Amino acid sequence: MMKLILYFCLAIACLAQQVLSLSPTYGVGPEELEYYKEAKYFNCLRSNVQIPFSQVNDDFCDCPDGTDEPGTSACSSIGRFYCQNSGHKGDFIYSSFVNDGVCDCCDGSDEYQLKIKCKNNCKEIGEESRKKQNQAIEAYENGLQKKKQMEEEGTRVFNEKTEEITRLRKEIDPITQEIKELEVLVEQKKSEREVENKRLLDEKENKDKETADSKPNVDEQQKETEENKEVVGEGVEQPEIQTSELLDAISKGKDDINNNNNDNNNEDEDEDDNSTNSQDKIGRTTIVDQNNDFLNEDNNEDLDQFQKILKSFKSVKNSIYNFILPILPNRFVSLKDMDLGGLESELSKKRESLKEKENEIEKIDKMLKSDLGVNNVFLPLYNKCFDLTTKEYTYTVCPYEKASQGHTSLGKFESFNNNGKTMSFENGQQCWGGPKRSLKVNMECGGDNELYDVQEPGKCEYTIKFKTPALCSEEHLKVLKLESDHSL
Amino acid sequence: MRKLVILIVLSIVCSLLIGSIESVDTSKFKTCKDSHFCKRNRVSHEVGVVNEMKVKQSFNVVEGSVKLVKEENTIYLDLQEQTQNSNVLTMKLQVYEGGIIRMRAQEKEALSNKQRYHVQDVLLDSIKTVPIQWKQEPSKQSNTFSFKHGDKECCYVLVQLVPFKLDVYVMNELAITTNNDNLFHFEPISEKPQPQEKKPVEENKETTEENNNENNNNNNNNNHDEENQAVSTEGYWEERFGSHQDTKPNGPMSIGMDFTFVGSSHVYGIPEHTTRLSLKSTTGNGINEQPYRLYNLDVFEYEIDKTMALYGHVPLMISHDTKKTVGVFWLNAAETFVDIEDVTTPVSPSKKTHWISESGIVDVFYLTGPSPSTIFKQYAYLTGTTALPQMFSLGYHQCKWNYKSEDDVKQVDNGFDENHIPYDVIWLDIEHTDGKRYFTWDNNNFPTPADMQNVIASKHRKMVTIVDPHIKRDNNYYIHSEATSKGYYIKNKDGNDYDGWCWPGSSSYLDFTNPEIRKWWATQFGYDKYKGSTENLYIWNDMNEPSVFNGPEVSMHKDAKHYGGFEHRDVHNLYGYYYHMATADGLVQRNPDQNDRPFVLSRAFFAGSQRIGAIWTGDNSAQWSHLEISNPMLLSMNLAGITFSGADVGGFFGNPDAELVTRWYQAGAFQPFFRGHAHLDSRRREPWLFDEPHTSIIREAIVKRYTYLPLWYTTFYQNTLNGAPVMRPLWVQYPKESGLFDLDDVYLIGDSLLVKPVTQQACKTMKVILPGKSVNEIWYDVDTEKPINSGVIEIDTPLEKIPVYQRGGSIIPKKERVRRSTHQMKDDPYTIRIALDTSKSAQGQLYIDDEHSFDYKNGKFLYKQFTFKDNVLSYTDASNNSANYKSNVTIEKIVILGVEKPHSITCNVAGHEKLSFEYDSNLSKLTIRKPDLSVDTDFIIKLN
Repeated sequence: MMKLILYFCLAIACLAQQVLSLSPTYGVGPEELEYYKEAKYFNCLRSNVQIPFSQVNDDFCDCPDGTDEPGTSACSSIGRFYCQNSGHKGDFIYSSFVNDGVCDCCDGSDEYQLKIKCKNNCKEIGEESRKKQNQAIEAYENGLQKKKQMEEEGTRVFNEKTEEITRLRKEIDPITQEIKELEVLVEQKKSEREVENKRLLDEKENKDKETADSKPNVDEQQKETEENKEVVGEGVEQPEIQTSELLDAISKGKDDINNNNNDNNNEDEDEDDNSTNSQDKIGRTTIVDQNNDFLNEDNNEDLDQFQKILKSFKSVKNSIYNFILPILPNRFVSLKDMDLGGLESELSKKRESLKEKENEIEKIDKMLKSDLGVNNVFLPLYNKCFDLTTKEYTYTVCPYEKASQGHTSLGKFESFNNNGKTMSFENGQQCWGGPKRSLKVNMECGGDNELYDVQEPGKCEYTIKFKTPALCSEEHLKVLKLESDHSL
Repeated sequence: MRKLVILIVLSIVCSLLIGSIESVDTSKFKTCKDSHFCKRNRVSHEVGVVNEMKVKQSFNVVEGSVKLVKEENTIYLDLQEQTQNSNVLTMKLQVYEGGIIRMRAQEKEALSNKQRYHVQDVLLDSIKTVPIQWKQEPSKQSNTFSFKHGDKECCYVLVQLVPFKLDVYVMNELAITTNNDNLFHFEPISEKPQPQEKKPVEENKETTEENNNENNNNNNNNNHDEENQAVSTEGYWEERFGSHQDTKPNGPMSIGMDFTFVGSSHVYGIPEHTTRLSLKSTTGNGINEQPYRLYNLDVFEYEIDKTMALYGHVPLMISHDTKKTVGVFWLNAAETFVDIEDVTTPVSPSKKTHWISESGIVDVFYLTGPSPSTIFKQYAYLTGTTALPQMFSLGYHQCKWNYKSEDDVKQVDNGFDENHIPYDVIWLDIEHTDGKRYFTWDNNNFPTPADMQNVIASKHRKMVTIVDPHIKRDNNYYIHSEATSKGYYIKNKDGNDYDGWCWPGSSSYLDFTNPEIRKWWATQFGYDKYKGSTENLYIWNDMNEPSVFNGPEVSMHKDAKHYGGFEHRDVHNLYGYYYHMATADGLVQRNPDQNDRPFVLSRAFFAGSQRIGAIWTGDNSAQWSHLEISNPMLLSMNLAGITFSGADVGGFFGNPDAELVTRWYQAGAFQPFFRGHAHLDSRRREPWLFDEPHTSIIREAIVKRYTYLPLWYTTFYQNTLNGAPVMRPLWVQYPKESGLFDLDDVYLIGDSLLVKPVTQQACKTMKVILPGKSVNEIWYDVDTEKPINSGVIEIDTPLEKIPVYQRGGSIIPKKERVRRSTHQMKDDPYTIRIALDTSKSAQGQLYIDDEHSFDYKNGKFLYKQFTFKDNVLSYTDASNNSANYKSNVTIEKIVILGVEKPHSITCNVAGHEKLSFEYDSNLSKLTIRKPDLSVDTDFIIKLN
C-alpha cells in the first residue's frame, strides 16, 4: 500500500511537470490514439481544419470540434477527456472537468494541475464495480431464467385458457336450449295457475264481503311485502315500509315489466336480468310518474284498494306474473303450485349457470385479447397485484387492471407503451385543482417482479419503476457482458 | 386529529390561494376608492363623481418666517393653511452634495401623544448637506426667494411664498414644479371627536363644527352642505375593507403633493408594477386608470399591465426628455398612490404627478440630474449602491418548490453534470423544514443537511434555504418561545402578539423595525443556532411584505403596533426591507472573520434594498406575457437602484411548454439575477427534461451566461462606483434619441452589450432597433461577429437565436471556458473581445477580486482599463493605483473585430514580445492567439 501511494505521488509529480508541455496523446481515447501520432500537422478529427501539430494539447482551442485539446480544458464546451483508469475501466469525461478541482477520473488523471489531490482508487472502484457488474450479470441471467419461466407459464396459461374458452362456448348452446324449453314449460304452468288464481280471487271477494270487519294482519303483510320488495331489487331502503311504498314497489315492478314488454315483447329469455339491469332511467322515471299518478288516485291504506290495484293488473299481459308473483303475499300463491316453483328454480339455476359461463368467456376473451407481450411473457402478471410501501403510502399496481395510492385510485390500466417498456394507468381520482391522477410504470429487467422508486414529477402525475424478468433480454445481457470484459 | 384539522384548514386556505390558475382576484386588493385617504386626496376624473371627497387646502409661507440657519445648512420656514389658521407646518429646505435638494414638512407643533413616522435606516449616514447659497433672498415684494443647488447660476430653486410653490430649475430651465396644482395636502394629527349627547339637529351641526376645528378635513367653503360633511367624515376614524376593520386610532394624517416634470413626456420608476417601463398616464384627458399604488403585497397570480401594488416598492420617479433627466424621491413607507397625467402647463408637454401617502411626513428629494448618469449617482448617493454580489450568485440558480429529499437534491445536482450544464446554487423551498419552522429540517427527507451541503460544496456549488418572517406559534419551537418571552412580536391593536395565518398555520411576526430584534434575528444564523447549516448555505427571504393569509389584502392589519409606538401603516413598506437586512447581517456575522459577502434573495423591497441583496419579481406565471413583462419590470427596478434582480425563469405558476421555457432561459441568461423556479404543482422542469433541441439550446443559453460573467461582475463593480443600472434602458446610453424613450423590450448590459430577448411565441423574424444613429454607432452580432450599422434591422430568430450585439467601441472581458460552476472558472484565462467603432477605437474595463470576500474594500482587487486606439491596445490601471490584488490569471485570446490585418503584433512584456495571430478578412477579425499575458500587470500590444 505504501508503495502504491509512493508510486501515485510520483505519477502526479510527473504530470505536474507536464503542465507546460503536455504529451499530445494525453487524454486521448484508445480508439483515436493513431490520429495523434507525431507529425507536422494535425487534422482536427471531426472538422476540416488542419493545424500545426505543436498546437495539440497546448491549452488553446484551435479545432472547432475540440479534438486538438484532448488533455486540457481549452475546448471546454465540446471536448472529451479520456481517463485511463487502470484497474477500472477507461472512460471519457467532459474536458470542462479537467483541472476543475473535482476528482472525476478514479486515477486522478483529470486533475494534473493539483488544484486538488485526487486519490487513485481505480483498483478499489474497479473491484467494487466488477463485483457489482457480476452481480448485475448474475441478476440479469437470473432474470432471463425467470423470464423463460414466465414465457412458459404465459404460454401454458394461454393455451389452457384458449381451450377453456372453446369448451365453454360449446357448453353454452345446450344450456340455452334447456332454458328455452323450461321457459315454455313455466309459461304453460303459469297460464294454468292464472286461471286458478282468478277463481280463488273471485271466491275471496265473496268471502270478504261476508266478513267485512275481519282485517288481515297488516304487520305481517308489511314484512312479507318488504321481503318481496327485496326480491324485486328496487326497494326503498327504509326499515318500516309504508303502504304507499309498497305500492311504489309494485309499481316499480310493473315499470320493469312494462320495460321488458316494450323492449323484449315478452319473448326474451333474459327477461329477468334485463328487468333488474334496466338502465333506461329516463324512460323509467316517466313511467313511474305515470304510475304514481295512477296509484295516487287510489291512495288508500285499505287492503281493498290493494286488491283493486291487483285487479287492474289483470288487464296486463300474462307476463306480468313473472314479476308480480314473487312479490305477492304468499297467500295469493297457492301452495299447490310447487311444480311451477320447482321449474322456476331449475330455470333460474340454468340461467345462472349460463350467466357464469358467459362471464367466464368474457373474462378469458378479454385476457386473451390483451397485449400479453412476446411469447405471452406478461400473462403471468395478469390478475396479480404488486405493492410498494413508502413512508406515506402503499402503492398498488395491478397490471391490466388498476393502480392506487392507498385508497386513492391512480387510474385504470390503459395500455403498454414505449415498446412494451411502460404501462400506463389513466383516469384515476380527480386531483383537487388539477388533472385526474395517472401513473406510468416504467419497467426494466430484474430478477423478481418488484416495484420501487415512486415519483410525482407533475401534479398528480405519478411514475413508478417496476423490475420484472419480463423485460430482460439476451441482447442486453450481451452488452453487459461486453462492458464487463472491457473493464477487466 | 389536531393535525388533521390543521391540514384541512390549511387546504382550505390553500384552496383560496391556489384556486384556478387563471388570474388575480382583484376584489382582494384595494384601489384608490377603497383607501379612504386616497379617495380624499385624489382629484377624481371619474365620470359622475364630483370631487366632493377632495379636501382643498392652500398653503402660504408665513410672512417673515423664512430663516437660513447657516450652522445647519438649512432654510426653515412656516407654512399656514389659508383657511385654517391652526394648520401650521414647518418646512426644512436643504441642499446635499451632488445637486440634491431636500424638502421636509410636518406639523410645527404636533400633539404630544401622537407622532408622525420619519423613515429610518434608508438614507446613508454619509450624506452631507452643503452650505446654501442664496440666489435671491426672500422679500415680500417679489413674493419669492431662491437658492442654488449647485455651483452654477443656472441651477437653482425658486420658492413662491403666497401661495406656496417650489420650482426646481436645471440649466436655467424650469424642470420640476411643486404644488403647481395646489395639491399640497396635509392632514394634521388630531384627537378623535367625542360622541355628543345633544339634540339630533344640533348634534349634526356640532359634529360639523368639530370636524372643522379638529380634523381640518373640510375647507370652510359654505357650499358644502351638512349632508356632504356627514359623508366625508366617514372613514376618518375607522374604515373597513371586506371583513377587515381598520380601527385607525390616530385618525386622518395623510399627505399629498403634486410635482410636474416640465417639458417631459416620459417618466419611469416607482417599481414594482406590471406596466410598461414608461409609466402610463392614470388620469386626465379622459383617462380613468387607477393610480399607481405602492404598498407591498403578496399578490396571488398577478396580471400584466396593472398599476396595482406588488411585493416591493421604491418611491423614486425619474423623468427624462432630450434635454435633461431629473427625479423625485418621495421618502415615505406608508401606503402611497401616484397619479400621472399629461399636461400642457407650465409648458407642453409636461408630466404632472400627484403623490398621496396615508401617513408619515412630507420628505422629498429632488434629483436635478441633469443627465441619466448623474441621476443614478445622486440616487445612489442617498440610498447606496448594489452590494457587490459574490460571483457564484451571478451564475445560474436552480430552484423548485420543492426538491423533496437529499437524494432528490443530489440527483438534480448530478443531472447538471451529466448534461454538461453549469449551475451554481440549488435551492430548497418551504417543504425542507420541519412543519414550516424555519431554521429546522424535515428529518425524514433531510436527515443529514450538512452532509448534503458538503456534497454540493464538493463541486464548489452552494445551497440556499428559505427562511420566512412568519413564526409558527408552537411553544416547542425555540424561535417562537424565545420571541414570545422577549416580547419580540408585532402587537395587534389590543396589545397582544399579532396572530395571523401563513404557511405554518397560526403565526406571529417579529418586529424587525426594532434594531434589537434585528440583532437577535441575525444571531439565529450562527452555525451553532441554525443546526445543519454550513458556510455554503445562503438564504432566501420570502413572504416578507409581510404576507398574512387571513389579513387585509393578504397582509398585516394597519393598526398593528410596532417598535416606537408606530402603527404598521407607518412602516409597512419597510418591513420586508428590515427583514432582508437582518438576515443579511446574520449571514455576515455567522463567520468569525465576518468576511463572506452575504447572499439573501428577498421578495419585498424598498429604497435601499440594493445595499442588502437580490430581489426577484415574485410569483409570475408560465405565460408568454409574463416572460415579456419581465424585461420592463427589471428595467424599472434597475432604474430605481434595485439592479440585482430577476424573474423566475419558466414562470412560477403553471407549466411552460418547451419553447417558452427555452426562450425564458435565453432571456434570463441576460438578466441580472438568473434563477429557474416552479410552483409545487408544476411539473419538474430541470433543463434536461425537455426534448431536443430544447435542452441543447437551454444549455447554450446558460453557457453564454457564464462566458459573460466577467462583464456582469465588472458592471456590478461599476455600479458600486456610479450607481448606474446594470440592465439599462437604451435611453440611458442614448439620452438624445427620443425614439428610444418608450423601448423596454431591448436593453443594454452595462454600456456595451445590447440584448433583445425573444419573448413572443413562434417568433420567426424580429425587428431590432440598434441605437446610436447620431453617433454613427456600429453593432456586432455576437454570434456572427458581423458589423451592423445603427438603425432598424430585421433578423431571423430561430429557436437557438438570442439577439445580442456588442457595441462598436466597446471591449468586453469574457471567460469562454465553461465549467461546472463559477468557482471552477476563477483561475481560467480570459478572452478579450474588442469591437471597433468608426474611428477604429474601443475601450472597456475589467474588474477582478477574490469573488467572495469583503477584501476588495481594502484594495484587494484589480480594476483595469483596456484602450484600443491607433492600432495600440493598452492595458492600464483604472483604480487610481488603489488596487493591489494578485490573480495569476492570464489572457488566452484577444479578438478584435473591424480591424485591418497587421504584419506583426508586438508586446512590451518580456517573454511575450511577439504574439501569434490569425486574421479572418471576411469579418475583419483578428485573433491574437495565446498572448498568455497576466491580467495583474499592465501591457501594451501594438499591431504593426
